Amino acid sequence: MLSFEASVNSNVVKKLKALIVDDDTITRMILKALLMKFGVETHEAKNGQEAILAHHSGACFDLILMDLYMPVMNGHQTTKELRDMHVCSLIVGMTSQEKEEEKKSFMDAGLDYYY
Amino acid sequence: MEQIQRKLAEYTASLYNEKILDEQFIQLQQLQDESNPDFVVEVVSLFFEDSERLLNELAKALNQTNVDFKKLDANVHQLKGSSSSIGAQRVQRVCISFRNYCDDRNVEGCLKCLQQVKIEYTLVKNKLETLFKLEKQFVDAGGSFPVV
Repeated sequence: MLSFEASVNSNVVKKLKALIVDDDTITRMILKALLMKFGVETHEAKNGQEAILAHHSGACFDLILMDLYMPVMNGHQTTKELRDMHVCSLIVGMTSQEKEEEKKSFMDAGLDYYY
Repeated sequence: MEQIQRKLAEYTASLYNEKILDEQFIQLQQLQDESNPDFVVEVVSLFFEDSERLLNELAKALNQTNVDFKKLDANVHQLKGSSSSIGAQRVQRVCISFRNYCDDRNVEGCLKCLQQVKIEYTLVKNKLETLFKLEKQFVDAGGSFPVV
């Protein structure tokens, strides 16, 4: 599978699909608008459980933007579960937390990048 | 129209000079385009709704005999996040102090921060509402904003 960056830069016509996993409506709106500027088809999940259910229903995404702190199922748990399901999407973690050990733990759950 | 344009430019500059808004607001404006013409107003309106709900929750939480600092911190974290998302710098900064008082379980500190965050929120709300009014006057007078 092409990396997200390579896909954007290549002449591949296939529309990229992204899943935004965040409990905050404003964050989802902003990320959706940003991704749409790049022609990315966006989907949303309000928490990790919705993200897992979407995958169980057969959805797959090129990119998953994953918030850390969410009700019902947090980003750490969700990322780990998606990787256990052999989901190979690019998963980028997002959080304003500054504690290094929390960032490292989130990365260790299976993120590709952290923002 | 030139007078309105100048007034709008000066007012906008003052919002950044007084640190009421930061560059995140500019980034929001850059996401607005012909396919999403009311994006900024929609996001900001949602911020107003969310903030007012959160401020009520914070006041309720601090009014309890046994303050639930975990719940308090979660609400302040949310307010910090949404204020940061729209560039409401001064609101965000008070939230940072607020969270520190939550960590210290300092009720008095939290109450002071709640008062301060209400002041900063009211200020940014009034300023943004005035900004949107000026932008509307500018457009009604025949002005247009560059499409990104």
